[in-house]
Amino acid sequence: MKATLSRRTLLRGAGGVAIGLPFLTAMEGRARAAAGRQKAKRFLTFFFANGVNAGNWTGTGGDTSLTLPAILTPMETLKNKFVLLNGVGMASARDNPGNAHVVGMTNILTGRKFIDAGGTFGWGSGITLDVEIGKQLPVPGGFESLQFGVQSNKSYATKAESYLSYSGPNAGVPAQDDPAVMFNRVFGGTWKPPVAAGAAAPVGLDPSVTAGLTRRKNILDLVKQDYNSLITQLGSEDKMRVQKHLAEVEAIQARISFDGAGTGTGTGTGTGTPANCQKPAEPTDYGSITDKAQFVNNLNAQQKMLVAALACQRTRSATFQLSLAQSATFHTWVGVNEQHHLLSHKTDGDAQALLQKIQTWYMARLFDLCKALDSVPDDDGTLLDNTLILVCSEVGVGHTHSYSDMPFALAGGAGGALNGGRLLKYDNATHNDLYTSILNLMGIPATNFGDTKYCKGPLAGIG
Amino acid sequence: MGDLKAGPSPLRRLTNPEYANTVRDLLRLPALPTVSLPKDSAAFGFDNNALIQTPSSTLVEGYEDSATTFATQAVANLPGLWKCDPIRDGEDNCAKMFIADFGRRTFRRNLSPADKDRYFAFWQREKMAADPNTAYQALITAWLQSPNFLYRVELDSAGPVGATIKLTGFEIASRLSYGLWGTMPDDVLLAAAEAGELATVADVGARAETMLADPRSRGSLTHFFNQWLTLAPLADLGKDLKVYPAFKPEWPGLWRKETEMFLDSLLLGGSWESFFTADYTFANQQLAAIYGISGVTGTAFQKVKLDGVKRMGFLTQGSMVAVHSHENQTSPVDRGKFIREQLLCENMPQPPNNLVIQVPEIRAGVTTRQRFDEHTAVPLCASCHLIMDPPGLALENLDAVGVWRDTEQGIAIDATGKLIGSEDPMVDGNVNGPIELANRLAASDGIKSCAVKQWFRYVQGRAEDSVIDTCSLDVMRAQFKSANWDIKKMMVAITQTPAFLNRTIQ
Repeated sequence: MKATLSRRTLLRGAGGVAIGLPFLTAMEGRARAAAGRQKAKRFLTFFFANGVNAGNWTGTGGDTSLTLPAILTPMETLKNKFVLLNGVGMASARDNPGNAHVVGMTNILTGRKFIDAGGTFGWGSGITLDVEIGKQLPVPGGFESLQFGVQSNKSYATKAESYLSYSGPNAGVPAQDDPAVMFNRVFGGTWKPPVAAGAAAPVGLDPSVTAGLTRRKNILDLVKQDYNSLITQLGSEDKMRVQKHLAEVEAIQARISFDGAGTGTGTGTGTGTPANCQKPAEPTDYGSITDKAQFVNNLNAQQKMLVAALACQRTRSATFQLSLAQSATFHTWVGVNEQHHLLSHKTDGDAQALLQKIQTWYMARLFDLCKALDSVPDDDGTLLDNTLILVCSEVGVGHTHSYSDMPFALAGGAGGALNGGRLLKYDNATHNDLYTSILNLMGIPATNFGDTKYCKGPLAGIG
Repeated sequence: MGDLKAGPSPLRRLTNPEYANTVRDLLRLPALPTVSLPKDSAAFGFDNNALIQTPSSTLVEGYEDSATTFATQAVANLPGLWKCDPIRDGEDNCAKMFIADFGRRTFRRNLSPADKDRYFAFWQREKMAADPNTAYQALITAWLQSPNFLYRVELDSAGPVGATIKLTGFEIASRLSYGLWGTMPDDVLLAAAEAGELATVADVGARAETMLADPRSRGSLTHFFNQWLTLAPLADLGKDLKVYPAFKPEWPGLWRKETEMFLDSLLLGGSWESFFTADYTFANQQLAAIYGISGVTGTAFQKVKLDGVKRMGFLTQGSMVAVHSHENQTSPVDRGKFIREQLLCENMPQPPNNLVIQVPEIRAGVTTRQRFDEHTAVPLCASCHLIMDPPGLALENLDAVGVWRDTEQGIAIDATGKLIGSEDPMVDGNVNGPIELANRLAASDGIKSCAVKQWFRYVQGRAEDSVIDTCSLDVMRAQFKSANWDIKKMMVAITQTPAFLNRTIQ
């Protein structure tokens, strides 16, 4: 016969260490009521490399119907939560000479031309959409944004091909490729899944844990003094970098104060249903993160971390970056033994057929991700319903590096702001304007994004 | 210093290798610690460029994790870090001594009295909350995250904005140690700084010479050459076994070893021109067999005489010709681009970004030259490729795995090439084959001025300013020349420049 353990005993753990559970305060409840039915929207960027074959992103239909192009057939059963975009280009990239993939990568989420870094390379010149949204939708005790990568780093000197996100000019935010590192970062330390109001009484921290936390906070206080004192003595460019450093130290402190001290709820801004937050199992058996043959295992493990991070509102904005710009992945699991980028420049029928297989495979990964999000209840719908996914690549057509008709799409419901099952056709719209629309769909007032030179205002008919 | 201009002196964060080296030396660890931080980014060729050192959340979190780990290690070895007897000297006095002495090594300068008081107050509070060692651990954890440790702060002397001022001894000590050793100043260098022994240009030059002769310069120099000569791809270089069935995964390691030993030999003295024209290389039996050199036996690398007909200098080494090739064929474009950008420091125009960059597929009976000629026939491409490809075409005898070939697709190799557009009469002209190419480059001014620029970028952590830094580059070049192009003398010469010795207040 199995002994029945009380919830409190379970929480106390084998070592007898009591674990603190943040709880939903009365304050939070009031805030939620005041905000009406505003849902906790999440934003996610889904990136795949090397664009698509010419014509592969062209759908048919309109505002009430959608027929998917061949590579998107994996999305068929979820197309009512999917919006295909045609005719949205990357005007800034067209004005930006340089290595086409680096140009694409540095322009894709910034909406700006890159900053020259010598040779044919450059770095992103402004904040990216994902980081901006994360800033606008902060989660108390959480992360501003999280970047999940799958083999997104080169084994040696990292250049701009690897970076999708930027916090500002020349300030790349690297994606983390290792699911175990991501697990520790997002779900480790003193963090525990939050519980709904009334589900369990809060449990105090073990005194030794509390002392350690207090010390950690004191240490960070001392560190902050050093940064503050230095900042007053610096010129403007140096100051910007050091201020960013200080802000990140403060973010750590805010997070540990929130998670550990039991002062908050861990539920974000008070919306959403924390009961659906499950701490994921620590990832194992996903293989080496630099072994090209383990790409699929890496991806699956990362996706679990990503979905849990969004479900638990560890952040409201994340990226899922599959490989890097000008990717050299060998997609052997779909029978392609040639590296992706070299293949993407071949126009013969055989090569195009192989590329089609690769592109279809990535769209099947998009489907998996959407399906996983759709299986998590969130608020009065699913996590997918409350998420807005931006699908993108660094170039339009792989073979020509065209930026005029980019493989952009939206998935998820943006908390009820976006209706799916539609094809939206534009005539040479800019991705800047698409991003302004995305900000608005996320509930963030905005009239432009990125370099205003490319902004005319939000795209018509998107919401 | 009159109208002296030093150029920008951006605040520099330690690179990952510098961080690991510094932790090892500061904590007197027996070996280099494993550090898990996001990779450094590179701009203008080097991963220490201050321009792209804005920290990310992952980096700052990584610093906290590392600080916690290393402080735990440090506190287990406190007596090894500073000598003090709490019973004889008093606990508080010991803490004060620790803050002054270990703090000086951590910050690479003396602490101000106010800072000492602040850190002592912190230590006292943490001691009350726990115990003295826990308090030391907490202090070290904080210091390893402090900007005074993670950044190379140069603020010890002040002046009006725009003024160019001389750096202090401690600041010079750090510039020397990070520039030449990739780590913090050692006790000797800190003592020299404190004693005013780094006050004159001659002092600094003599110190630099000693430091470059020290084995501790090796890691930093290797890191410099790895980046300048783009050797990093050797780490995971693969080739198409259908085209190169003899290729073995260990070949790139042989090429790296060859180039490293070759560079070591050049650093012993002699003219930098031999980088191109040396009639020797280093090989073991396996590498010699790849190169078709007979009479070399065993696994140990040895100095090997070259015939000067097929092979000579770096340009004919695998580290050059195999890295700048595709997996299944040579790349005259990559090879030419490398020569232009890395060895001559020429800025290639950015390619039009709608350009369809397609490596011509291998076809029976058609040589690489013929296939690449097709794309230079397109006017849009030709403007750049006429500059880039011809020097690369002079290396066509060396295939994508460094093996000499006389024919390709049954057709005799045409290794004629041409250098144009450099505005240097010593560079521009026709060449036929690797030897002529190497000789022409060796004699040019361009490769010497470029070596100067690359070293400047690496040591200063920024690209040169085309106006303000002219003087500094001229100083380096002049000293390089008067030393008969001894590369090590040029490396010392940077310490004699306005850019190295001064700072302009921002």
